Amino acid sequence: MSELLNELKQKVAEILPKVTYFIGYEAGFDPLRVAPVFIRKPEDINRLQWNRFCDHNLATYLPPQKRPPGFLFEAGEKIGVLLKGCDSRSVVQLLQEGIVDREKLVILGVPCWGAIDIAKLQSRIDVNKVSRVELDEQTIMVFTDTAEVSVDVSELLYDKCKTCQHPNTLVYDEFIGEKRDPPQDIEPFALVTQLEQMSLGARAEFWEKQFSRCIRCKACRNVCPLCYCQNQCLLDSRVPHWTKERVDAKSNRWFHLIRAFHLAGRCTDCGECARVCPVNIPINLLPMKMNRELFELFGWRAGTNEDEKPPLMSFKLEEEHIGNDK
Amino acid sequence: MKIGVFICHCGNNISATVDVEQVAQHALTLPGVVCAHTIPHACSEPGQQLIKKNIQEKGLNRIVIGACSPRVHEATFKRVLAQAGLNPYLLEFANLREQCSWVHEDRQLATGKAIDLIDMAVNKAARLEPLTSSKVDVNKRTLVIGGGIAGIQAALDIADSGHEVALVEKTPTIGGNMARMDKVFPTLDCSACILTPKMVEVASHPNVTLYTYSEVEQVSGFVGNFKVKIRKKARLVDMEKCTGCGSCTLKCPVKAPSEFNMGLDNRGAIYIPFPQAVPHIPVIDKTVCSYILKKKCGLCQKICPTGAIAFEQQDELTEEEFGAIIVATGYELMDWTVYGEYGYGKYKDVITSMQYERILSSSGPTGGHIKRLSDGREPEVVAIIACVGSRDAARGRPYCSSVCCMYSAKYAMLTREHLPNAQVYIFYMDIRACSKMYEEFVQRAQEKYGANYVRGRVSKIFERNGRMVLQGADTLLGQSVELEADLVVLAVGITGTQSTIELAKKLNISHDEYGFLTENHPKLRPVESSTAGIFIAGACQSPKDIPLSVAQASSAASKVLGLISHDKLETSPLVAEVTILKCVGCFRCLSVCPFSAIEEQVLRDGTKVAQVNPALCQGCGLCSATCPPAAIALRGFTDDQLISQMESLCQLNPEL
Amino acid sequence: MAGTSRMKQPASVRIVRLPCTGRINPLLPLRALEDGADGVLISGCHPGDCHYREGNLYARRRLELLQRFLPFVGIDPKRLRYVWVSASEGARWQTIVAEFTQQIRELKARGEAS
Repeated sequence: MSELLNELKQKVAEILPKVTYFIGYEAGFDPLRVAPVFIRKPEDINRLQWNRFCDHNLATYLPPQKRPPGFLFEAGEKIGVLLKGCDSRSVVQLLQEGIVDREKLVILGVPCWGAIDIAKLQSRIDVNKVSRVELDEQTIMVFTDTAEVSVDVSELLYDKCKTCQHPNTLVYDEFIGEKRDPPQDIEPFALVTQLEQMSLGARAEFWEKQFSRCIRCKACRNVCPLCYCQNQCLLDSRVPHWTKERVDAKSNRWFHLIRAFHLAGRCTDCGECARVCPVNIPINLLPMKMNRELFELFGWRAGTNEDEKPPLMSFKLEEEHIGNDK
Repeated sequence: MKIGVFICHCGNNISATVDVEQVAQHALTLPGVVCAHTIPHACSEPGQQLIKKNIQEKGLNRIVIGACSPRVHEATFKRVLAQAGLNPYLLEFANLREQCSWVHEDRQLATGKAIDLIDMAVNKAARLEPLTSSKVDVNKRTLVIGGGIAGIQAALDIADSGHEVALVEKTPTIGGNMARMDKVFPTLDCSACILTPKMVEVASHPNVTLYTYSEVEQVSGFVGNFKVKIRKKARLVDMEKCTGCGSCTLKCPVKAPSEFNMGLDNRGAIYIPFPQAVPHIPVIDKTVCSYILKKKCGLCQKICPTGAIAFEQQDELTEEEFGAIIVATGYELMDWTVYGEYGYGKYKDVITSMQYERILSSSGPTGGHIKRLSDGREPEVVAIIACVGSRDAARGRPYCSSVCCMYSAKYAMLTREHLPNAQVYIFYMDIRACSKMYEEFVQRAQEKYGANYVRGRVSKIFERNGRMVLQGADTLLGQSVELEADLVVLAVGITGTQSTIELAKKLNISHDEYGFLTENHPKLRPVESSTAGIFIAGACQSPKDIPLSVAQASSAASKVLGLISHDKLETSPLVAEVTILKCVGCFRCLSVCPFSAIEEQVLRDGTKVAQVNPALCQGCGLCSATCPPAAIALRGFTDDQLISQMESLCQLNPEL
Repeated sequence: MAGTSRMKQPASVRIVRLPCTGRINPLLPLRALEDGADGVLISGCHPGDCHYREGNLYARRRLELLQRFLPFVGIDPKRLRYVWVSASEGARWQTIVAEFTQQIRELKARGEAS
């Protein structure tokens, strides 16, 4: 990891003169956390971090529509960004949609072994009192002032990392480190299949419980790299009158259904919506279900092919997997 | 918001099943509704007056009419609104007849449903906006596709009125099927004598551009403004240099069956389809020419006195703009070889009607002498079998060819004129001779020319001692018959063509399963296709004879002239519209629009947003269903309007 | 056509008129189900025969996805049906409406529709 970090810093030093800023990770408020960082000056390069806690999808900063104030594109400006395999799928999808301009991006690719979901540590140690962390490829040791724990990293991975088929960045200008062999025998939609074991009624109840927790903070939408409608988002629209601002299970469900359909065939399964949800709704499962159906119907995986038209934006006169006498 | 609701009794078509008074009473309770009336006949003059009076006296600004299907009277009531000084698009229609009173029996249920339908309409009406149409220029040029008699007639009518026409014909000459015919019923004048002058006239008309050996490749645009790509197929003969002397066609060593003579004789690889062809310029058949296939021969090039042979010639694509299109692509004979009982085409002396036309013709392969193809002998007995491939649902052709009764009678007359001693038998199902002078014509064939009419189907044809034996039934006498004939003519039915179906797809017009184009209304709009600005004429619409084809061609021409007599056309305001502020520039609308009606627009700050060309937009709403932030809305069917309709219907929760 | 021919139909159907199935954002039928419609029946021109060229071909994909998605959030997919019925197929429309209404009634009887 530290070799990769050194190589990353070298590369960023090389490309920094060409870009307005480089988006990477820096240390967060405690040893378990990292935060996105915008590096503009060479002296800041040392702030960069690259470790198993780097879970944010930095692609979310790329759509011009989502650019934070103060980071406006100027003529000829380029942006550097560090992308994991999963994050790069978002960029491929954004390229497919013509939202980002490949010419304006300098992408550094990395191999990824999966990121650690801190929530999974919580049961073993108080993650809010961590003073020190030691990490090697297999094991993580976490220390607080009063306790310590050693855990196999594979037990702490995000669910999305366990079903990841893209450990290497798909689209990049320079790749740091060596590419990993993609894992075999992965069932990318395992989480959906799992939920489908329930009966129809049980699933309705499951979601009712989930949606009744939603506080409509809209973090899921705001973090999503593919939700770039910003102020124009249908979820904020009064005319047309699509949503009500009421926060109850029914209105919340409708809110998330709209979002799911807006992501149909576009969601790249980065899981950011579920990660940022303050009330832990596995909200990524809704678009993931669409993804599974679109894969079965049309062989489509969003964010893997920049040149193919998405299935809901195209058609065949004779559909192979849809009955013609519906 | 002042909504007026008007419920029509439609005589008793609605009020017999729906308690219209109760519906009107309910309407009065709805928000925004200031008056609700029932009217015996809303579409009648007193009905219209009542609506106008209410609009003016009560200052109504949204109108809901509960009556028949909007397809029937929406236009009528839009006019009423306009006459009362209200924007016509502030009208919402509730279909209380076709969707309610006519399909339900229980008065209580039907009344309940009618109330809901009015509820939905009132809710939508409250969200209607006044709309205005825009105007587009009308291109005055017309494209006529198909150079048979219908296409020629339509082109001439339009050209004579002083407007430009392009006539596109896919074969090397105009003239179509009519050019093949010998004499035509009911006058028995020679087909060529009446057709050839028209062919020459259309070709030399200053307002007509003739594209022979050309096909329509692609059509875009809309009424008044079609863009058409025409493929001018390579003739391999320079039309400028060629004088039409025909020496090349005499020397060409290749032999291929002549299309014009229905395969009865051969032509060269370079050929002029027939002596009166227009243009009188040969064409090289690339599929058989030895020079093209093997780079050997080139005899035509050597002998051509003007150096017109151009083996290197390529297809040319030209794009032209037109305001209107007439399709007159004609017909084909149906494939009669499905009739195994008539020999699948294996007997030389069983021929088709179109082959017989060529045999009768003095310019045909036999010089106008009736001969058997097997041995050249003059036939003593000629049998004609009508309805081969017509009125035969079992063979997939349930319709009547509409011409074979008449031409069978004609063959009887012409055969007897050529061979006064020959006997003619006509096997028929019924005699249909319904037009002017037709019945008299058939009578003449029977009485003056001694044609023997046998009512019944021939079930089998076989050869015996060099003659054809026909076995069948005489259904009038109720006995089986057997006839020995020397020549059998099958009066083969008429079908639409595959190439017309392909063309219909390019034009986005409807066709039926037989390849005939569908008119917009079978009685009232017989020459209009399903797409505005595209008209149909002749046998491509249904089987028809020459007089009807010509009449329909002139009718289509008059429709075109009516259209292009306008300098501008009003476009429907029910088109998509972009709210620029909401557009995030994803351009998914542009990607899905089937009519290329959406463009990129760059704002002053460099932002790119979508923009609708209202003249191209057909109002399908696909863009609106695709746009994530609902920045593009289909007027008249906006999300807000549809949601309001759905909300009221869901609140109502009908008892199942 | 079904109306003009006076073909009797269940009185529980309310029709929302649209120019083309292409206009149907899958969220519209979903919204109707969420708002309390017992069932949603969508009907349009046959594929390949779209009055607006391609609208129904897009709609077919979108509605198929919707149908497959519904059970995932606990909505019985039988509450949605999309069919292709041309203006001339009155009898077919009558059959489909009757079938669909029957299906929804059965779901309701079992307490499975909303």
